[in-house]
Amino acid sequence: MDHSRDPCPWVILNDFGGAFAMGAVGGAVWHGIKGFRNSPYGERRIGALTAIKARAPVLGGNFGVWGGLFNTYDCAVKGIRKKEDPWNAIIAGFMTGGSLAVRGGYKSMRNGAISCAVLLAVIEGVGIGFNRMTAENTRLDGPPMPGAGPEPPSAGGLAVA
Amino acid sequence: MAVSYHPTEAIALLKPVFRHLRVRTTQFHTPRASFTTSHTPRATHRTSTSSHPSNPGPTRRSVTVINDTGSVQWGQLSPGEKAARTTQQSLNFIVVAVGVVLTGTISYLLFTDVFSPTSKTAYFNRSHTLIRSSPAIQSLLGPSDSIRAYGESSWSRMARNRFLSANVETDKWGTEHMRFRFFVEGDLGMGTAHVHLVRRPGDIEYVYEELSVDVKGHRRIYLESKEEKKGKVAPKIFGARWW
Repeated sequence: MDHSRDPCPWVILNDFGGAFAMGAVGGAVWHGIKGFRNSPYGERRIGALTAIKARAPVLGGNFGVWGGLFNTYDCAVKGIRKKEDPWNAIIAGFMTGGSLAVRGGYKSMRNGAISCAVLLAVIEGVGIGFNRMTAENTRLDGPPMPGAGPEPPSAGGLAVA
Repeated sequence: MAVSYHPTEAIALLKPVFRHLRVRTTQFHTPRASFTTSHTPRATHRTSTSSHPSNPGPTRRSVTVINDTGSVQWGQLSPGEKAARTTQQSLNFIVVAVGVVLTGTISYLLFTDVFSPTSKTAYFNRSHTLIRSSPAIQSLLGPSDSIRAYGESSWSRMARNRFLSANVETDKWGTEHMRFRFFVEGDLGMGTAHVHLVRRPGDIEYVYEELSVDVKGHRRIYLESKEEKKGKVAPKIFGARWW
């Protein structure tokens, strides 16, 4: 049983919230520095705060929409394919990139879908690399025969190396 | 009587004024650098009889690691500036090399694990298809459409897919053995699938040595088995078994 993640309908909401939080925090840092630099002397702190209040929630919302849409497609692909492998993320990324660029027309959708699928493929590749590095090389020998105890050593004959 | 305006006459009247305003800009003649590298261009200054020394043209900014655009020729750089340019280009090369190596590594990992027709993902998909199409499995787990497959559970909240635990080993005869297991779950129950594939030297594809499913409370179901293949007797052709 997998206890680490919520089941599929709820994971969309969970990841939407997580993505929004990441975007909002990152946006606060980014727009804080930008607002500070673009403000005149004497008004830098208030300029930074104004920029954060104006722009950080927008970036958080963008991240949240991306995360929510991606997880929606991921759950849909899992439901259709009935299996969990890296193809799910790549297909979901393709669909997400295309959906977010739908207002730009066919070419924009195509480019967005391909670039998003490539991004997700790279993320999956990095995940595979980390798995290979961190996972201990578990020996997956044949499954034990049901009800079979340890075999007694052979009475006679030479042991074959 | 209305006075008509003639712009040409006005310009003719202003011509003497323009003549006084005109400034000679060609005080120093600096020849353009030729495309050949046989000689270095030198600025030929006009000799002045006045006591002030001639101004040696506009001075350029010193080349540093940050501001070097490559516009100044190598021969015109001082030793420090040459070091700065070498440092900048070396750093650029290192960044590009690291990028190429990382891109190649990720591409290799993706190909060997996902896109290749002999990857564990490809065989996982094929095994899942075989399991779903087995009537024995359907009787234990439920209808074909409901049987889903997934790998090991991860305690990481970031891991979306439950990864496949697999390992590939090569024995002393050069035969590659790929083993992995995954879980199958249907409306009626769940089980564990064990897959053992072999690829002999010279072969392109792996072949199933074993594909079995364990469902709790039931006998193991073999979908592909070496023992099963051994039990099959080849037909006689002209009174003899040829294989």
